[in-house]
Amino acid sequence: MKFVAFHLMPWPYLPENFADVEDSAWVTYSNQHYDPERGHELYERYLSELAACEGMGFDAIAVNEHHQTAYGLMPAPNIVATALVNRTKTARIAILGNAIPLRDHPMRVVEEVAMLDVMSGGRIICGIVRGLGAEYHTFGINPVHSQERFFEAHDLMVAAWTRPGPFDWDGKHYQVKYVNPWPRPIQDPHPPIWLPTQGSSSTVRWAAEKRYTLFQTFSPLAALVKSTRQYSEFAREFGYTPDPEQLGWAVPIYVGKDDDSAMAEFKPHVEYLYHQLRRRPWQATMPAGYVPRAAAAAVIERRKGVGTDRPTAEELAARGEIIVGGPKAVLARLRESIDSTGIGTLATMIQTGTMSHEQTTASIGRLTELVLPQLSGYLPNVVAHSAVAS
Amino acid sequence: MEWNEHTVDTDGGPFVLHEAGEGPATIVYLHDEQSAMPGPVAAKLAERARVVAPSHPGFGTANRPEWVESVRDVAEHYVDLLGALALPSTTALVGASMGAWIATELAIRTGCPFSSLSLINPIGIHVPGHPAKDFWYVRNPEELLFTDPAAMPEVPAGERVANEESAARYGWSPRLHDPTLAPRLHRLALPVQLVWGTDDRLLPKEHLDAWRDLLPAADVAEIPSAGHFPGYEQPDHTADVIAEFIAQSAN
Repeated sequence: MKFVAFHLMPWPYLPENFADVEDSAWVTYSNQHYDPERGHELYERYLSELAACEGMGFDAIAVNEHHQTAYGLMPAPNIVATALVNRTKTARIAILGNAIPLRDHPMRVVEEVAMLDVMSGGRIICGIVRGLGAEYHTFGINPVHSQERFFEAHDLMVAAWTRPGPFDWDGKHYQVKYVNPWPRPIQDPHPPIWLPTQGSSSTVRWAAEKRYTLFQTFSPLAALVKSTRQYSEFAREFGYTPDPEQLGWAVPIYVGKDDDSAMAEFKPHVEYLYHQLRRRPWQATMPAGYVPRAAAAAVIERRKGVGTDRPTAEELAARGEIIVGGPKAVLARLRESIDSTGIGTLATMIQTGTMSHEQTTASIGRLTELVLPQLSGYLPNVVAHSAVAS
Repeated sequence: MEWNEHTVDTDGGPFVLHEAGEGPATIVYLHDEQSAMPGPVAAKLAERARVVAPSHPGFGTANRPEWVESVRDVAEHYVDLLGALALPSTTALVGASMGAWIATELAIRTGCPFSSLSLINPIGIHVPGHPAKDFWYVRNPEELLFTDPAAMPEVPAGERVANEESAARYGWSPRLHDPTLAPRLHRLALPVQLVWGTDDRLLPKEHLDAWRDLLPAADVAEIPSAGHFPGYEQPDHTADVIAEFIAQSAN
């Protein structure tokens, strides 16, 4: 098992009645509500919480990219990664990921990630994402081109890192007369590429073909079971059996002293994440043209509900979308999840919004002392996994 | 009222065309972004004229050549259709919203071989300080687009997502306009009519003012009790003013 410590760097100061009076925590919620002085304290706190995960049993520390939102304060993930490279010595820094279609030019990402890889001595994991629907309102990038730009930017990125430069690139969205980035990454042929996703089958197939680590985020256990099974089936089509580490899962985890106190302690904070920070209109989740027509048509009737449902912590735990409990229950739940999915990479979201530093640290402490050591070296129960898959 | 839907093959690819009606005039009707079908105002016009209405590339089931990525490209693509149709010299051009924008580009591109041009609540120009409202980031976009949301046409899910995708392809950025359009509007050397649903909540009234400033000779017909799509909310009144203008311009 590989363990990743992950954190959204959320804004914890939304008013209690936010979801009743505001339509969205994304794009349109005025930045006049952002307080830079508090923001300064938060960056210091969040960076030190993440850096402290090095040496506590985590293999990697993860950051991500979101724009114009209280949900996460890392619009430039490579800048946060740079700060973490400076605060750590051995941990891998996983950027999950750079939203490559949102950049005016992917050569910027090619350069920045290569710089980070060289500066860190080869500790970078390069996640790539399309960016959420809402983020297509940030830069005027057309959501209709999201998928095309994602694939072309990826192809250009890998070519820039692996083909001797200079060479020409004449794509639909990007044209470069001289592709010849200095520096090149230190990892050979390039940093591992991970694919954070909510698991559309075409994305899963592509990841399996490229042998990239699929990284399922914000999903009920049933969805994870489905996408990991799909990945394994696609991998077999491509003639190989995936390493468990190619199957990743990002999940909020809270470890309390015992089950009852854990739920009571975690409930307001995880509900802040689901009810307040994720609030946005349906068009922000799925803007026109962002997904293929068949997928958009399939959910057309459910549009109005998107971003308005407010699942309770108990409901989220029941469907395996979060893991909360005392150490024994969390360990049991993790084993069960690992065995039913075959995952070998586990990213634990260690802070969900309003948790205090003390509470965050206490939960990480229990997780790393009492739970993760029991799983280290643990491999998915392949028999159980095959049984689920058949 | 039945539209005869058929495919027209051209050297530039196939087009989906709807035809109905007969009469002394021929009208090319360019639909709005709500539906790939011509809609109720075109049906009213077909009661007194021959109406020819393509589905814009990417809308409904219409083919979109891969190079067609903007309203200007759509107009360029329609040059192939006009060539294949061999329309009479008395043909009037009518368009609504994005269809009006396409019609404007088409008239400019082809040197105005039409008897008149009617633009129903056109999008397409930038009016500094008065941007169009954003129906792409609200929970209930129909409330911006119609004074009575019940007037919104029923469109099957498959067609609706195709229309939404295509409207976004052509209108997402720059948002619902092309900064190069206004400087070319002086080339509209034909009678132009601006038809305006006066309760438009998408386009501020300053848009009508800007179009009038850019086209000082244009005729203006205001349609009360209608929002951005008067063709759905007041089809009779809208068709009447357009038919009258077409008849006047033909003389």
